[in-house]
Amino acid sequence: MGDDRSASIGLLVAEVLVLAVFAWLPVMRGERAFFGVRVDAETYRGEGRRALRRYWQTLCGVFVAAGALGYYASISLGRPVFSALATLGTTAAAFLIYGLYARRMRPFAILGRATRFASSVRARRLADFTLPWVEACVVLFTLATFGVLAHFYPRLPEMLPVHWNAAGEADDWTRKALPSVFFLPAVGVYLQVLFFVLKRDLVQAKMTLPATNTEEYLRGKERFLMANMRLIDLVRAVMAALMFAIAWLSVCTSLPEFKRYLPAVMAAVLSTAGVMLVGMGYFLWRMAAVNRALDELTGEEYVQRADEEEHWRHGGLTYYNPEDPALVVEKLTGLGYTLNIGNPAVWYRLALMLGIPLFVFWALFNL
Amino acid sequence: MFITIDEADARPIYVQVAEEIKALIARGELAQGAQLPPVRQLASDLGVNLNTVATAYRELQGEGLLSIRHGAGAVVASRTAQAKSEEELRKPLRVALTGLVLAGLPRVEIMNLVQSELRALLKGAK
Repeated sequence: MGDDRSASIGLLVAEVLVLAVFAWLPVMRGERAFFGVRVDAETYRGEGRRALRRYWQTLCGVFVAAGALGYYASISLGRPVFSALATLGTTAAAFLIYGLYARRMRPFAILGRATRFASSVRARRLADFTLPWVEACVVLFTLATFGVLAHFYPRLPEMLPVHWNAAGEADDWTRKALPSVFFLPAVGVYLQVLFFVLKRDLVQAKMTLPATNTEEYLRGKERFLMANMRLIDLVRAVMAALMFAIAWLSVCTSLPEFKRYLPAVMAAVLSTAGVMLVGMGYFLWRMAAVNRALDELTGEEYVQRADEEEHWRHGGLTYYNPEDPALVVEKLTGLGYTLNIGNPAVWYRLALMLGIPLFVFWALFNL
Repeated sequence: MFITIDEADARPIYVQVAEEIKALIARGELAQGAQLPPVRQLASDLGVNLNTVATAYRELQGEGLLSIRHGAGAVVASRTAQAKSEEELRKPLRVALTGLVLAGLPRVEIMNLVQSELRALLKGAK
């Protein structure tokens, strides 16, 4: 029951975070991307503010109602799945509400007036963003994960733990087989490949520069890109370490002679997750700081040609422009980069991403 | 080191890209052997078609300023364009000077303009 309550509270916190993000999205770039649409100051202060108030009220109403209902159902019925459903449902509803308001603001759109744009003539290479020790960590931890599981495989019991509670005690088991033992490391390898592909694409991310303050702007955007690269590196390295720690968790909870290492392994699992969260927060903060500095310098956090502004969909959350050779573009609303889904080369990346939920579904029904 | 394009300029974008790169080479900012960005990078950054940048690179290759090798990208091959006849060299100069005369500028001012532009162009060149 204690675990159920912790899970429900955790999901409620996640829901509040989603609410905060969606409340901030329409105004994060002010009138330059209000619901992903460039509007004039008059619209922003008049019709825009009224629409924003209605949007916030609708969003809060949906989140409070769904969150309370999900939390009550999960606690009273002892099924945290209701909280999970409420979180998923409210996130989907938030996307929908945001999209509806973004559509409402489209008629007020005006296009940027700049006609001069610059680009650096320095070639960006993957090697400029590669840290050898990170690559070594990823490879070594990944190989070690398979090594540990392969080494102990013959000694593992017939029923294996696949889920643990916060105290490190197993609370779900499955029958021992190659797919069940090596499923998680295989997902880890798949994710490493996916993140590497995305990192390689990110090197060539669109970096349009203004014709004035170009040097400072380029330096800022290079810092922004580097922060993104480091974020991906952090995720890759921590994910590899996490897989290694989870492999040991399976061994320690399955073999009595390793039980005494369980607290240390559990601490390793929790600390890797902690490092991931703190690191992500740090790099997102750095990206936001760079954008703030650019905004103060040039009045624009993100420069793009007027004919590209029309290709943002869903309130600046997705970019669809078949004419644009860029695979990766900086997000109009939100922090970081997104894919140009109008480019056929991006569809392979999307198919690769689709593999993750397919992996999870396969595991749910086959392991 | 940047190149700038202007959507309001009557010249096609590929001409602007080629001329901006030529200016960087003339000023010595792009030395012989310097690597240029891949076509996709430059086209993405400027928001133009891949062919636009590829055409600009091919034009510079035709003039002997760039060498393009498959897989290695575009590299500055030389700091001097292929030899042209005196008449070919005079023609663009004549067009530019005609524009200045028609703008009503006196001879001294035209000379000053030409000299300051030439100084800026040759400042970085060795």
